[in-house]
Amino acid sequence: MGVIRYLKGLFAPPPAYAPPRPDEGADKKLGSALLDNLIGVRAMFTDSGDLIIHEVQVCGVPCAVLMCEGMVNTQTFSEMFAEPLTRLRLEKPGPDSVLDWVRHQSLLAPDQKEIHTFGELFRFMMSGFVVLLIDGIAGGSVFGIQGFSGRSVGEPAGETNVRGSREGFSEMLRPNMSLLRRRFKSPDLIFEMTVFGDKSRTDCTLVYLRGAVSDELLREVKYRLSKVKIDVVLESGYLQPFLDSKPLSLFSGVGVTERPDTLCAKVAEGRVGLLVDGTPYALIVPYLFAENFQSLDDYSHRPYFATFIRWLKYAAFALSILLPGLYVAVGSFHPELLPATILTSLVVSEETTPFPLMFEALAVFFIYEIVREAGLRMPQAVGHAVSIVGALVIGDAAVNAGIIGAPMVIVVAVTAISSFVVPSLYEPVTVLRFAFILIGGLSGVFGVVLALCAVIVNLCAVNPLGVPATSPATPFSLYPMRDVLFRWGWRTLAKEDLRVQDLAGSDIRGEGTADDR
Amino acid sequence: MTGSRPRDISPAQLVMLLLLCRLFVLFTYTSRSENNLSGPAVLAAVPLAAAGALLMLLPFFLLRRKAGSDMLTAFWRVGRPFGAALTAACGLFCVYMAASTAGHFSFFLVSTVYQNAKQWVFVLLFLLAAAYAAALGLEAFSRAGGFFFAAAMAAGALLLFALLPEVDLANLANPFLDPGALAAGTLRGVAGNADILLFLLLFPRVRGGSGKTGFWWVALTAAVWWVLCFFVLTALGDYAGTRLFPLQTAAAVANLSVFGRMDLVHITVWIITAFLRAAAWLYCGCTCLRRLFPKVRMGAASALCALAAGIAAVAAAPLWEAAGSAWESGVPLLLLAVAAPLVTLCFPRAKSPVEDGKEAAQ
Repeated sequence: MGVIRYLKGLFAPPPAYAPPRPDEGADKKLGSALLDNLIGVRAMFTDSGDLIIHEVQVCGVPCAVLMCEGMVNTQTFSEMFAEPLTRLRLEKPGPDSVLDWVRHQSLLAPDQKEIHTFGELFRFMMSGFVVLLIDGIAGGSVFGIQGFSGRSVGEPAGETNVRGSREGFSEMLRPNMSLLRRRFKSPDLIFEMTVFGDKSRTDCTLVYLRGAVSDELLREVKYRLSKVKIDVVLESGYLQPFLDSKPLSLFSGVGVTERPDTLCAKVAEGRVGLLVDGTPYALIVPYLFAENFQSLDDYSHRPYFATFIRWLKYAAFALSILLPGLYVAVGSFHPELLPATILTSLVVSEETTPFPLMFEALAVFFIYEIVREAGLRMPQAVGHAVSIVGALVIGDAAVNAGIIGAPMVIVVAVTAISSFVVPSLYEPVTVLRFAFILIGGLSGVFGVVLALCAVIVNLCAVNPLGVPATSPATPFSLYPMRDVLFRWGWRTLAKEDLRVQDLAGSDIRGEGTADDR
Repeated sequence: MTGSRPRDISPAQLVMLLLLCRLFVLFTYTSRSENNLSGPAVLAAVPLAAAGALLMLLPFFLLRRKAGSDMLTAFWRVGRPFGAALTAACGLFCVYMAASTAGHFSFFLVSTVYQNAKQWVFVLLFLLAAAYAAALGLEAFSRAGGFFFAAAMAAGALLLFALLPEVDLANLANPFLDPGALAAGTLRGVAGNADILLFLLLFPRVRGGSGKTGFWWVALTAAVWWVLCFFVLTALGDYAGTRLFPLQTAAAVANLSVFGRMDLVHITVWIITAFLRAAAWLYCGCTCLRRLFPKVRMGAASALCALAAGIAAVAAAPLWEAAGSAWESGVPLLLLAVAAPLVTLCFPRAKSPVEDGKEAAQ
């Protein structure tokens, strides 16, 4: 039966976009009796030590103030919330008049909302809001006076620039949104709040530019996100596979950035961003392969230099994937292709080493990856020590002991440095490098070229949300190429707006958002 | 919306793909005197063969006007047995061509590069990669064809530039001196152009394709062929006729500054073109197979076609010579690419309902 249901599901039309599921306990409404509400809250929040409930009388009306410990700014709470409330004097005291004062005659917090369910109460409270429940009122009010500690806005570690902003996203969602808003002072920049994770209830925000984004693209992103069934979302990487068109491909169609200026630039081209609370890494869809070689610095430098840097990146990417594999293939199967002087030094070094080139390359890269991983996970001071020991062991002692040849060390060093030039492609580069060494050692240049062809076809099969990842190189369109192989000057770049849906081979069409229709 | 529906390709992508497929044949046999085109006559035979190829495309375009651009659908409209028989024949031809590509390619490898290796190993690896590409779909490998085309053109230009010092116009002779060789060369050029069937089978997947697409493919292929032949003939002279793979010899002779020998460039381009050609034929084989058995998935169809091609290329090696000569006669190609569309045209049932509607509206 299960198989039949599964097969039926394959042919069933896709369900329409459904908004994310409501909070747990959303079906349980807050009652008008304060005591019942507090019993309910305590029952659900049992055994947890961070719940704070203050029962107070406001103009003789029993009220309760609820918050999570450490998530509220105590100074703001005292000055802006507690003091006006406790000093309140009303002509006709009663639950309705207190509520009316809170809602319409006061400004206790910049962010103030009404809630009606326990689910909403918990979600707001755990996001740092203060909750006010009034006896005799079915519902409550929440006030955004968050004050939890977090990392301040700092320079993004993985996307450092020579020129341009030094600001990067932090782990807090709302400051991240403000970083975008400060750069894009337009009402067309839309933040659409949503929640993921059945248990973690992680706040996320879809970011897009109304008028630039394709309604079809936006609908597809929302549809894919509506399919997310996951208990805990702690990082944007948890959601990435749900947005990827081919999660098993080597290359992803979803970009990652921790720079607000980069996200703004992408959103301006009709892409959709996703900010996730608790991580500085935002997702961008659709993301093209050529974008891995672009950085914000390209647009600050002079065009000739930016073009030079871009070509350097393409070369570094090719080197980091192919150099070890080709070295092993040519050295093992086609030494006649090497110039005589290089061939002589290769033969001399290989005569003194015990292993074939392929094993030598595999072993050295394996050790290199261990050293890199250890350096990454260790505390920074120890990490440097690990790097030094690794460099000495691999680079000097192993060569002197005759375990590996000196040319291999040069190949490893060049490859390792090249792989850091395009950090966003580090994952596929590492795996492909090992694969090419194996293939090159077993089948020579024939195998390397054949495998490269297969990898290119794999890349060309990636269609992130209907846009070919290899666009605009193939399918070719001339105008967008002004920012791929070359980086033309701003006078040329600014002539026409480029939108991702207008690229050659794109399946998504149409301007404006679904809301416009 | 995304990631599910098959996408069409552009006319330029088809032209690039087919040009690269044809380039494989040119790399294999250019100016090989005793079996293929005779030395000097090749320069005149190439344009004549191109004209012949255009003539061979005419029945298809006539059928297209009447029955739409999908030739296989037109066959099926005539009747189930007719459609099934011709689809099966096309499928077998496609598998044969994939096997032939793998066979020729692995023969080149074991005869010039890896002289002590087993041929079946290369056939296996080669068809495995090609089947993977075919399973990913036409749009994937035709997009890759864009990259490969740019790489092949750059490598070709480098190769010809390196060959320039060896060019000696004294090696050229009047191509019309031997009309017999010219006629034979032209006929072989037309009959050996199996890519015509590839064009017919892939054309329905071209967005906005027209007769111009066919013209550009034939013209560009002829131009590239002519240039390669000219350089090989003038650089190697009569020596070209004695070589099994003259273009590879020319690449080995070419020497460009620090780059040394250029045969690595030649091998690379050859692998790329062979891979693409095998993938394209396997894809068309899958298309035919899925017309016959619509429930077969693309991955399974691709694996089946590759398996059949592998068996044909390795296990059926003793039959290869006989099959090869039958194919070189061009009869199967003429039957499938010319006769079948002409016969289909005779059946009023082959007419597309859409075309009918258009005519009624007019």
